[in-house]
Amino acid sequence: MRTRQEIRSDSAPWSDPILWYARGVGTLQKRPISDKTSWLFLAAIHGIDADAWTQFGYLSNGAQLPEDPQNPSYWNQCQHQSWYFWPWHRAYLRTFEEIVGAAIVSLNGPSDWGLPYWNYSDVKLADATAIPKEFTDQTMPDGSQNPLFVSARFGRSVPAKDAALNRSIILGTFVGNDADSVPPGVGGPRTPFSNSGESSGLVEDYPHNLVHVDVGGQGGDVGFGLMSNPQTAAIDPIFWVHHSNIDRLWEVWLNRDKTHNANPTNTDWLGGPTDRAFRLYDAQGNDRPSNPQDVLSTQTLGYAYDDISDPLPGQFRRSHRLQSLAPQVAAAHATIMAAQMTKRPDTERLDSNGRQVTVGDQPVSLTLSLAPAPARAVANSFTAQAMRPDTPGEPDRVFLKLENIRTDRGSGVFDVEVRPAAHAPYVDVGSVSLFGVAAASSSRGPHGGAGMTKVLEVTNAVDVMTPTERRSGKLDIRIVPRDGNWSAGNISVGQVSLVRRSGQ
Amino acid sequence: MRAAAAAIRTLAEGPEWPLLAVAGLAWAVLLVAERIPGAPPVCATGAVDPIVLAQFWLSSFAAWTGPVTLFAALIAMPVAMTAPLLQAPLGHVRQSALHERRARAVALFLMGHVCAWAVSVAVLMGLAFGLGRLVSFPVAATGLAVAAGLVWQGTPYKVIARNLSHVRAPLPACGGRADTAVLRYGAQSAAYCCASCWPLMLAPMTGGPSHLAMTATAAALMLCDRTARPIGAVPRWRWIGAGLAVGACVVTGILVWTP
Repeated sequence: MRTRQEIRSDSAPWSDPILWYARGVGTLQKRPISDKTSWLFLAAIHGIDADAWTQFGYLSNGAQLPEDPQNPSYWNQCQHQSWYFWPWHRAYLRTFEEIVGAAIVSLNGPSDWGLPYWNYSDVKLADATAIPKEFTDQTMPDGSQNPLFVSARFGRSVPAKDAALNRSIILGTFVGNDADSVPPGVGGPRTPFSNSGESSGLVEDYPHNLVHVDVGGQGGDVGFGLMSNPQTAAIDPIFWVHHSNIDRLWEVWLNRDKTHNANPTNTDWLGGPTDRAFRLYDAQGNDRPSNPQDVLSTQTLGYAYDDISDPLPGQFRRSHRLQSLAPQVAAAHATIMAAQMTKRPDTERLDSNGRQVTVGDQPVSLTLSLAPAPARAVANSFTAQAMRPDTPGEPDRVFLKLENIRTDRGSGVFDVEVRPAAHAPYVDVGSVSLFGVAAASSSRGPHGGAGMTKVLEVTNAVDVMTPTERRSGKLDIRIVPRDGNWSAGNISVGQVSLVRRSGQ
Repeated sequence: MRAAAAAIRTLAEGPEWPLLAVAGLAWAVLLVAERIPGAPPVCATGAVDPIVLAQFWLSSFAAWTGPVTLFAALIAMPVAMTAPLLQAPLGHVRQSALHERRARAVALFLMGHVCAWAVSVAVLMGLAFGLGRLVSFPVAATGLAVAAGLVWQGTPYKVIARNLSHVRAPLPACGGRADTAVLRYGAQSAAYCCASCWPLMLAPMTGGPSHLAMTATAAALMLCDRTARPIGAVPRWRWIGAGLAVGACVVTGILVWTP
């Protein structure tokens, strides 16, 4: 049984697991791309854009490739914006770990080596969010060149709010809704094979996408780092310890609430996509079944994490919200007069700005009004009964949708802030990473250039509004590009809208 | 065909079952119109000289046969074939509009969609007629249309058109901009849908044998095309289409030249 440990589980840097990881990576990097167990072949399974690889210096002009990236058999398989996000990456990591493990054994290393993980969310760990020293040192302890170092990595650390898990694992649903409805699930929307798509699952957004772009950063000839783009990310050795942590979060999520948190049981999830089958292999290069049903148990796969304890004990989205609403219960009406109630759908629009918003390197502000009828439904849902934790349901939830986010180049992160009234301070409601947005914006790409749609919960902002403001109020929205991490030029957001979702 | 059957089952069990009902109604109109004595075949109008067609429609306009066949050819046929494909775009339209405006938004979307399809069908009718004039035998025209369709299926342009037909346009929730946006979205999705599947519509119009069965087959193929790989295909050349097209031409030649 392999045990996957946190990189800094030993107090001193360069502990044995990471030292052997570096040696194994060095061995794989020496193999030609035509070898299925080589570093570049494995990276291309996640994603390859031959032009970008050439720009970064990993391919020479006109290099002969063992596969056509446009017509791949193994390459360009990574699953994003999909309910296959977690299981496909687990199967992918399994292939990688076994190949590196075999290389380590060939170097007379341990036979039970496990891929380390980087837990940037561990608040107990000093400097948890800083990129581990083992990836920034140019040389290993013995003075030889460090295979874990890449020059095209421009981030230095992950902002603490990007590493926080309070927007992702506290939700109890695996499968989210599609781009038209809310809320997203933890694991992603139901899709066929999805190399890129429109809306991500919550863990894919927080922290996965944000960490990718934070680590990749901005700089160099290309403008951004390897990790910022799905088609280059797996070339960077830090990719694998990042994804080891994302895989660990799957176990953490399942473990933190065994009653409610569960994997899908749909046969089309368990059996994998039918439009393009997942193709992954063992250390000898032999294909093996790699669908979700084949990777559900880490024990069966022969590995375990040293820590899958709950980082947010007792924090669950609904109870957290109702706790913060407790002061309002006394003032809330007990019941709503039947005459005031009209039947509303479970999910409906409150408003949209109805036009495209362009975001450059400066903040952009806009205001959305709550349409009277659905706003009344929101206001009427704040009954004393709905706000009590011992009764089922809760007041309506409200979401902000940023539709059809597009950019033709680069990457970056922007923060979204909301304030319920002109006099109130802005409240942070989430961050949007542009990881994969350039690919999703190509009109010749698999999604016809639809770009991505992001859904951010703004219920907290509505919770602090007065009943009058909820009935006829406005929400000011501010989109703030992050300094020092913006290589996207201008991006366009097709439309910004507000959606209410019944809490009953 | 299993994919088409599964898609129909999902539609029938979900809230979008009226789409199936509308498609069924359109098929009923088609069947009735096909059996009108003396009327040109509504699914194979391309095989008839447009002047003859126009004369029939004008001369029998006062009677019910003219309007029914005109409606069947331009409206009922595309509705019968494409109504089951509208599940996703109609869902997007409904979710994007304010609740009070949903019916209006759906009506405007359908108006844009049907109008764009009517124009497309008229163009395809002209194309089918031109193809019929090019070769002497209806079966040869049908064979050529099938061959063109097979080649088209293997081109990246077909995939691009299909991917574009899946794109959800941003739709404002209310106001005049919402009306124009949803009307445009309806026309746009029909145009991309037609660009993706035009040979499937063209083949039955050439008036070959069993054109009604061919229309039904084409509708099933369109449903498969939409649901089997709903999103995510990478545009690229697939030479198998060209290979099958050669096969279709050979079969057509045999049918034409065999006494």
